[in-house]
Amino acid sequence: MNNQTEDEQLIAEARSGDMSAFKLLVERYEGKIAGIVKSMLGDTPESVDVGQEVFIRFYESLDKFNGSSTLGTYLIRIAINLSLNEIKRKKRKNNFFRPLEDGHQVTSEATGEDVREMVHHEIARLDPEFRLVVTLRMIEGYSTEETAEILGIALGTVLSRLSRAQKKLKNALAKHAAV
Amino acid sequence: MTQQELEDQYIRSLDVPMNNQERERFLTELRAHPTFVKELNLHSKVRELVTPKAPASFGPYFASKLIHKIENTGVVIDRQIFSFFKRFQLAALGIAVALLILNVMFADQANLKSVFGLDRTPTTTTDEEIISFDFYETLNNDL
Repeated sequence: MNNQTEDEQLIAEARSGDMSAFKLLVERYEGKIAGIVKSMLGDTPESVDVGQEVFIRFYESLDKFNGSSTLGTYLIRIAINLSLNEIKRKKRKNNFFRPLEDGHQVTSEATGEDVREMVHHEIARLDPEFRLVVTLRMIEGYSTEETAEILGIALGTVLSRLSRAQKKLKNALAKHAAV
Repeated sequence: MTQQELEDQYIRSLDVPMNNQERERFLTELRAHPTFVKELNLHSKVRELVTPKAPASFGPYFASKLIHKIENTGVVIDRQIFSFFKRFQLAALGIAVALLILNVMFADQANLKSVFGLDRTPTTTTDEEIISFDFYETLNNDL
């Protein structure tokens, strides 16, 4: 039985009130959704709230899910929308990411983990539309075609956003290498 | 090919692999800029660094906590039967509006009672007067 068939069966069971089937679906997609939400919002308590909201929205709309897209894509779209809403909400409150004018501070004896953290910090500083393509393509490993489909944008747009984001990240890394 | 073009092509190749011909041309051009190789390697390093080392998670017992929340906060499945009716809401509204327009057009008078048919009077006309007729009185008089 492939994943999609298993998903369909679990959805049918969840619709009829089987919470253990719904729990299995949550466990199956938690990693994927966490990767996206945390990449968009950082490892914050809000990201867990958004993660819960993604699955609650899915639960509420179990009857409406018609399988026109895969469950993964469906959940990712909800996660993206809720993450973008959260970013807007935070921007309105004007406290989104404490300003770090000089970028992430990395000492000369930085470890590989520090460099990784610095790059992720730079990703968090990208505009949401760039952060989204980086998250889906570079972090979650979707193909450029899948990324374009999930975001509903042209393939060329995905490639140009990736290129610009890649250059920014490379420059940050080069700056760090020069320290 | 400028360094900028070389960089663009290299970045693109990280997502859309070059074909043999493109690769040959790229490598030939790169030989003209040997110091640029280090710069391009940084792009590969970025890709390597953003690749997650472990699957992401919302923390332990995320699914259990979520199920508990759903079961205890009144979250319910939005049943399709209501969605089915919702789908026809617009059509029903359109029919109601069309009927209202027809009623307005064919109303006798321009008032709400007339439009909604609330001013219906009995069909008897005032011209017809009901004449009382006492059969026995008439009979006795004749006798």
